Amino acid sequence: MNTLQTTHIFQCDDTLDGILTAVYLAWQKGTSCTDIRVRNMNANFSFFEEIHDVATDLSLVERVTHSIETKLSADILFYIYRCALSYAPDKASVIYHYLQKAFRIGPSIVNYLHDETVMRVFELDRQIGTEAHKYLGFVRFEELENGVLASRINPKSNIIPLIADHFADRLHNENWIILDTVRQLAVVHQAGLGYVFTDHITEEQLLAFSKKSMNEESFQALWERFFHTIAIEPRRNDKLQRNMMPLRYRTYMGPENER
Amino acid sequence: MIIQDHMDLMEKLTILSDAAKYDAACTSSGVDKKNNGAGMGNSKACGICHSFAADGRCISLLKILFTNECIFNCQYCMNRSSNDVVRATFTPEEVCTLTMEFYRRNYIEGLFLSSGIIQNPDYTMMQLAETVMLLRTKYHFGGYIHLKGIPGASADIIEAAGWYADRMSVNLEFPTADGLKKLAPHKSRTTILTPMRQIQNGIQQNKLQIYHKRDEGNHWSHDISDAGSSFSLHQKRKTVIEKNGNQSAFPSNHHPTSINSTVNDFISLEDNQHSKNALLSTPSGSKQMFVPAGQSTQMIIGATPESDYHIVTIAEALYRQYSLKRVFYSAFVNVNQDNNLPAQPDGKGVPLLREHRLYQADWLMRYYGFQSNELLSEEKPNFNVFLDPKCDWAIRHLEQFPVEINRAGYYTLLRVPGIGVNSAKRIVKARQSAKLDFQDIKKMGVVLKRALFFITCQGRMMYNTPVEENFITNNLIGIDQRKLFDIEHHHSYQQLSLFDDYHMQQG
Repeated sequence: MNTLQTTHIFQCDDTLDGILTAVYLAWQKGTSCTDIRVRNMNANFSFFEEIHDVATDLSLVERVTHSIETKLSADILFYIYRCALSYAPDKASVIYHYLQKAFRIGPSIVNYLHDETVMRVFELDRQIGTEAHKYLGFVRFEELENGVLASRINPKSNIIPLIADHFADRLHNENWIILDTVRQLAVVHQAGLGYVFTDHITEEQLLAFSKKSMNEESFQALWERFFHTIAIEPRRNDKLQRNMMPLRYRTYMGPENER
Repeated sequence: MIIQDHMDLMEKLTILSDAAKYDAACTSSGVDKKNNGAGMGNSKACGICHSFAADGRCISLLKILFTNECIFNCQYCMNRSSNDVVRATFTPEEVCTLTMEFYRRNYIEGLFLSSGIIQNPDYTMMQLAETVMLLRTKYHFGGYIHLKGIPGASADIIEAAGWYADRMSVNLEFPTADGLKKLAPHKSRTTILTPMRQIQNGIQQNKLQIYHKRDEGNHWSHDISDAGSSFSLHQKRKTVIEKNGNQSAFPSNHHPTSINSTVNDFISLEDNQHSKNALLSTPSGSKQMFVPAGQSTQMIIGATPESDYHIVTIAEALYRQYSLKRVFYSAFVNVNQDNNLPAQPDGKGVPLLREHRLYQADWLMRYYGFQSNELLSEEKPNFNVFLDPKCDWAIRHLEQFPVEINRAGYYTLLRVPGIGVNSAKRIVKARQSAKLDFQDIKKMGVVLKRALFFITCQGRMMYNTPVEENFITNNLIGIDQRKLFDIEHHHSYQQLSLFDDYHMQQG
């Protein structure tokens, strides 16, 4: 590729819809001289590039998803959806290049693990899967005065959409909220019914919502005691503990967050 | 014995979780369950860790004893009747409250309930059964329950409890009758193995019942489509189950050794009439399952003089003859400083490395297709301190290496040191579309540090390394560890030195 040639960068919203809109527009321009990027994410800017700002257009998204589902597979669409939730700054570009290769090779693209782009998508998917799985265990609820269970998390990737179903099933008959304090995105569940996502919810708003319930402190104290007595002291191994439960997960956990 | 009448929940929890912490099993895996709609809770087959304790172990279940007012006097146990420790007993309601409130806050995946023997085994088992029944029927708890079977308890109580638990376990404690007699005088081979066999048969019968029920449900549709086929379908399934029951992943050993016969004498159990018809009652009309996540057990390592070979042979026999899901190994910690037990002057338990090696071997047997007598033998009864069991095996079987990445079968790839289940699966996937080279498999995340000595890509080794015992051993073991290795294993390999040079051979 001639490095002096101008690259057209399509800058889009940080959503799957945004990325797929940009994929459509960049493709139209010609795949040899285009790339896509998520707006406001860290990236290397180059001198020889022309930036196009992309407004999400659902009709274009519809056309891209339709061809992914018919020419590739529904699994690949889900795969890309998960990658789009990642925190990685290069995710939009990776998805774009992945789709270029996928449409050339077909649904068997998922087996091309020796290819760098395919492997990168595989890694992004695994990273976000691991983080989502960790949070299934590390989410901590506090009971508020009105009986609502409230939780805060600060994940690297946007994993709330991936864990909502699990908690909706498990705590089916409870009212609960999980707030992603990084993205100010919350999932709100109503007992016996279902859940909705709402954005622009701040931590302060959640805390001002209601006080802790009467029993909350005592159950937290019981848990703290259990957490400390269950460890075998002569076998203390802080390094192993940190490997399994890195500090960044512990911000809103109870006794685990004592430093 | 100090028994306090009035004790608050905090004190009880402190005493009874402290007393339960040496039990190794804390997994919540093995069963996928959706919420039943009425209550709280579900379960994931992969298991979920909710925290990690200061010793680095996963906290997944609320692990507690029901009581530590124990009438047994097992030498190794800090709750033995002769010890002067504070005693406490939960009420079933207290256990339920703790479980429900912890579960709601997402602290835990469920309950692990064990117990000391209060009054007698039957009474104790009744208390446990009552607790789990209450938790399921009154509190509608749908999460995971791991329940201990009490050695010596009546079969009907164990069965009743089994209908409410996801997993049950009866601890084997020691791998020989001698060890049990000396260190756990109130337990015996029979009182431990009888409930174990009963639970195994119960699980199998319950599976059959479920197949029966499904077939009854499908009866009409089958009759319409093809008269008589529902019966033959049923017969087919039944034979499938029976065949699978006998034909486990652990084929019997062809070369009986003295350890093998000791092990068989120890764990074989005459089936009596009751254990054959394990399930007396079936809750009518319900879809309830009997111990759906299967059965496990635990052995204490290092309190008695058995070799690693003896222990893995026992584990293998348990997997084969009792259809266990897991065998756990617990490195012995001498909490009582008892004269009958090995002294541990530094205050630490048996080397954790030994426990670690046993778990590695356990994985090799369960997922990698290894047999115990491939890993160890009577001539070489203990694991190598410096090499994991797989490297150790590979170095003793160099005639099978190197293997070609582009052609070798899945199970052959799994036997290469450094290639695990993930790497082997990726290789098998990727080579469908391309001839793989070292650069390719590196990109795929296969770690070549160890593997490079044992593999070829398109007929070539990565570097020009000889497939030769001393050379590979030298490279796999860190230089600073060699001296120690020599001391412990002066028989198994030639003397190693810093100046070993494989080019010498060519000269």
